[in-house]
Amino acid sequence: MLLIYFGLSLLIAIIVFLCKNLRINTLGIGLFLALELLLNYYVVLNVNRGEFGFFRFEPLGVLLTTISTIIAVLTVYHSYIYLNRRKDPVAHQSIYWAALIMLLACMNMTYFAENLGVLWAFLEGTTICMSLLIYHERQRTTLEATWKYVFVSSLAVALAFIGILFLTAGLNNHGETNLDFSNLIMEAHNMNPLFLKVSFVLLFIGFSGKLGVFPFHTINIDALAVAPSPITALIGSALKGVGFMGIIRIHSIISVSSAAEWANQVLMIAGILSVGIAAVELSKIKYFPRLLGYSSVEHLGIILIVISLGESAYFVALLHFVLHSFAKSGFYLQMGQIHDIFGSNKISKAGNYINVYPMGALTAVLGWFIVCALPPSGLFITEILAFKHIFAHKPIWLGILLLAFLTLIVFYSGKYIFGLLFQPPTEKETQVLTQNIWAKESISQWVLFGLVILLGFFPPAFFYHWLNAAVEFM
Amino acid sequence: MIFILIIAFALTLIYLSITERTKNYITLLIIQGVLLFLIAFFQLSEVGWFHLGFVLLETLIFKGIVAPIILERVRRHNHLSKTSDSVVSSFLALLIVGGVLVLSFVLGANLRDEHIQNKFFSIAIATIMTGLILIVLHKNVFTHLIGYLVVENGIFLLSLAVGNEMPMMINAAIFVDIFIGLVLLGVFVNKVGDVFHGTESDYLSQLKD
Repeated sequence: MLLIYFGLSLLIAIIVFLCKNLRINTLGIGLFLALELLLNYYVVLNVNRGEFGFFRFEPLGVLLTTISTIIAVLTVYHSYIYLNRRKDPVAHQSIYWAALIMLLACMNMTYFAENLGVLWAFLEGTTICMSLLIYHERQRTTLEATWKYVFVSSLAVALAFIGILFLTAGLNNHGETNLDFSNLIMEAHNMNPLFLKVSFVLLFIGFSGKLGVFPFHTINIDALAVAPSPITALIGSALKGVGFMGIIRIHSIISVSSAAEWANQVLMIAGILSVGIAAVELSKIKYFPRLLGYSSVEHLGIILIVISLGESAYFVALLHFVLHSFAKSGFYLQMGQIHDIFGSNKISKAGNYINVYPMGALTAVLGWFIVCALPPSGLFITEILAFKHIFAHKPIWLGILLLAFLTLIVFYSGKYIFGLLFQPPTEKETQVLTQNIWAKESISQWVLFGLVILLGFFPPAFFYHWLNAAVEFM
Repeated sequence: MIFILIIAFALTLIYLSITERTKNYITLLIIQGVLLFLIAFFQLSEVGWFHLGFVLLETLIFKGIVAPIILERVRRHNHLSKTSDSVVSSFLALLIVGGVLVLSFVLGANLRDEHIQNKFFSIAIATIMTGLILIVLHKNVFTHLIGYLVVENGIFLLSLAVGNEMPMMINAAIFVDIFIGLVLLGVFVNKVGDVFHGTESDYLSQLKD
């Protein structure tokens, strides 16, 4: 099924790319969405089933695919609005749809990869598709962001490949290497600890760009500032699942070896640095999407810290990741509306939002509460649980330091959001274009924010069981 | 024979660190592609024809011919003859890369692992480090692209040092990824040249906070 899915996705993408026809674009993306939903239905019914030797529908992969499918449907809907509003040439639109189809297909293949080499190959595939999507508006700033994204991502993924080579060296056998995760986990305690540690660090650095945490967190930040808004909703949420899966996979290998404690310390340091960098950088941003970008660095840093605390905290980390994905995609879609109204993502060009577009202002305020993990956000529950674990397992100064960072982040993000609502733009030459904005565009954002509240405070039984199954896998 | 090839490869790294002519960069990458093929050919003596064909495709054809052709097109498109963009002098760059070579060989000599071939390990680490140094010390996106390809050559050598092989399908997928990545990077270097009328990375700083 998975190979049929990928083959058909590739075929649809090629047809859409070559035909350069609006009707074929619509038909192609419609067919792909149907295929995506079918795959999602199939994997939910076939959890733990292996496919083609290199893939397996592990519970975590199924969960991430479901998140990705929900966000993909909304991304496609908002992409239609975005492309119709911009009236881009058909050829550019075809490239956009073809790249989006292949990006989603590569993401799903990464989630289900049962082999480290396969995971690497599809992860690199997402970089190639992303570069075409970031470049869509063909401006100087998009070119700058695209170059940085594609070059630094390629370099990061190359480092990850060096990590894979060190891992194979640690396996202590010659000939064809079995890089299946089940085999690597089984062999982990026999591996050379030095090579295992080196490979963990290199793979972590390589995947950190996709997850958006220290040290390669910058890859996403520039891309988020200028990419099409529906795409930012995908980069800022579901795409992070690719990096999350990669890091969880390598962590599950090293955690059964003698280097487990050491690996947890690496995650802890990377997590603390991520939260600290987010707090410092937020004080001087110029673009609204960067506000959400650094907020993601903070949340994902917290997730790394929680994972480093051990198995008892995995549930909290996973729930936080799921809620964060919905929260961020919702807020990025709102940022898209802000961009469409003020014609720019620059903070200095936007203001008086409460008078310009009250529905959007209300959504932005709710979004701020949600991403800052303030009640009624479901992230409030997961952060409370996360700090409970941090104070229980780590020195008190660490918890206090993290709380100080979070306070700064809430302060700065509040300053930008409430400045947008109530203060006039600081730049004199600004424009306001509300005629093209529909209030119904905000519905998807409220649905996503509603999911964050519902899944945090009143998780349905099936969701709870699903999370537990995924935690077993971690 | 392999030692001679490794020494020749090390010499290309030293030359890469001091040259400023873009044509020299491309010539050095062609030489590296040929050397990688010869090293792999002598090393993988017991390998099947199919695998040998793949190595030939990866080294001689891709690294030695296709990648340099792409780079030459990029070079001509952007009228690049010389890149005087290093943040350090050629002498200092030579010292740094020389130091990296010495350190890599010392590291390789002290690595006591029967499953790793020290001679390949040392040159692989030196090559990866030289690629990264090229990227860090230069302020031109064309030189960054050269540095990336040097890192990829180092990764090929590291795979020889480790001596393990991945299944052919995964190898092929990795190869396709790297190929598409290079084409895409080449296209974007041209775009940078067209839009900013130059390929210096200083132009790419509008998004800074």
